[in-house]
Amino acid sequence: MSKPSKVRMAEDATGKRTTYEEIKVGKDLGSFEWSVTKADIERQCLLDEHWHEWFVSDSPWGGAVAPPQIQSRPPRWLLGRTYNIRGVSYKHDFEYLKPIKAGQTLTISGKVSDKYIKRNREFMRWDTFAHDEDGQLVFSASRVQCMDIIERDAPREGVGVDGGPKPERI
Amino acid sequence: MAIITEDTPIGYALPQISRKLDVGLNQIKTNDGQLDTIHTDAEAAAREGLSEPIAIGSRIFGVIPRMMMICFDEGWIVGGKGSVVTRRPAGINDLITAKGYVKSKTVETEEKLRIECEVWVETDKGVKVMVGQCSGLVARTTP
Repeated sequence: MSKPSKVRMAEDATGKRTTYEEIKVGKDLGSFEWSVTKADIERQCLLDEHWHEWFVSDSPWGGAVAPPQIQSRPPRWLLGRTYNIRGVSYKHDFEYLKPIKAGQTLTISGKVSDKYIKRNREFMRWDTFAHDEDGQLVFSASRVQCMDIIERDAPREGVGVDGGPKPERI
Repeated sequence: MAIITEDTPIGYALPQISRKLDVGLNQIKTNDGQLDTIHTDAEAAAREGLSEPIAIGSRIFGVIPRMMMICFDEGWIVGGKGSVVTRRPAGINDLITAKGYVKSKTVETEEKLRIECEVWVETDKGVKVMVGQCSGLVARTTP
């Protein structure tokens, strides 16, 4: 097995890695539409071993709704459309305001809200919002990613395997 | 039926939820197969400075909403809120358990009370890998 790298990765299979200096606080990360399918909901139930009749048949809101933690993926997809940041997830703030229903199309949007250095590592925060077809806020999430596990004074010169942008599917 | 109500006392221990992680849960499929990531592949993990692949954060987190759903039902799906921090990685095959207790209550609206809980996820070795606070809404019948 390979030994853990002592240098940070400059690029990977998905392209050049984003550096801390390139992160712009306040940057609009754009938006995209996410159509939530029954299959998405079932996959989330399977991944988290979280089954409930409301997730597969009927619910108090009429029809199946998603386990609300399904909202953990779209923020990462949004970030990956602008920046290539691997690192690891550090902090996750969230609020569930409306149920997410099968067949619903949500507009996912967001912006970079902060960046900082802590324990010689680089962190960035971005806020994500999901609105339904009526413009109502369905959920919000604010996440912090530690940009590299390796400390920031290590040179950025290696070639990684894994990258930040990921397929946009549950 | 939610088990937390406005009468639930501060300090009440939430029902624990355990699960066994598995590398299969970390696989991200593409149109061409699947990706080698720090969650599945030793080389991908090593290049990021890790000694071995680590569990996906959202899989670790996943036991918390299961616990909160038992506690709050509808008051979690609409009105659930939280803030969690990953303190250290979990192994891809670890047994993890969500735990927590009721910490405080605040009035949200005339009809709803927000019940705040301390929550965490620990491994079977007793290591806390994720910590934070989550809350849900319950009906408020007393002024």
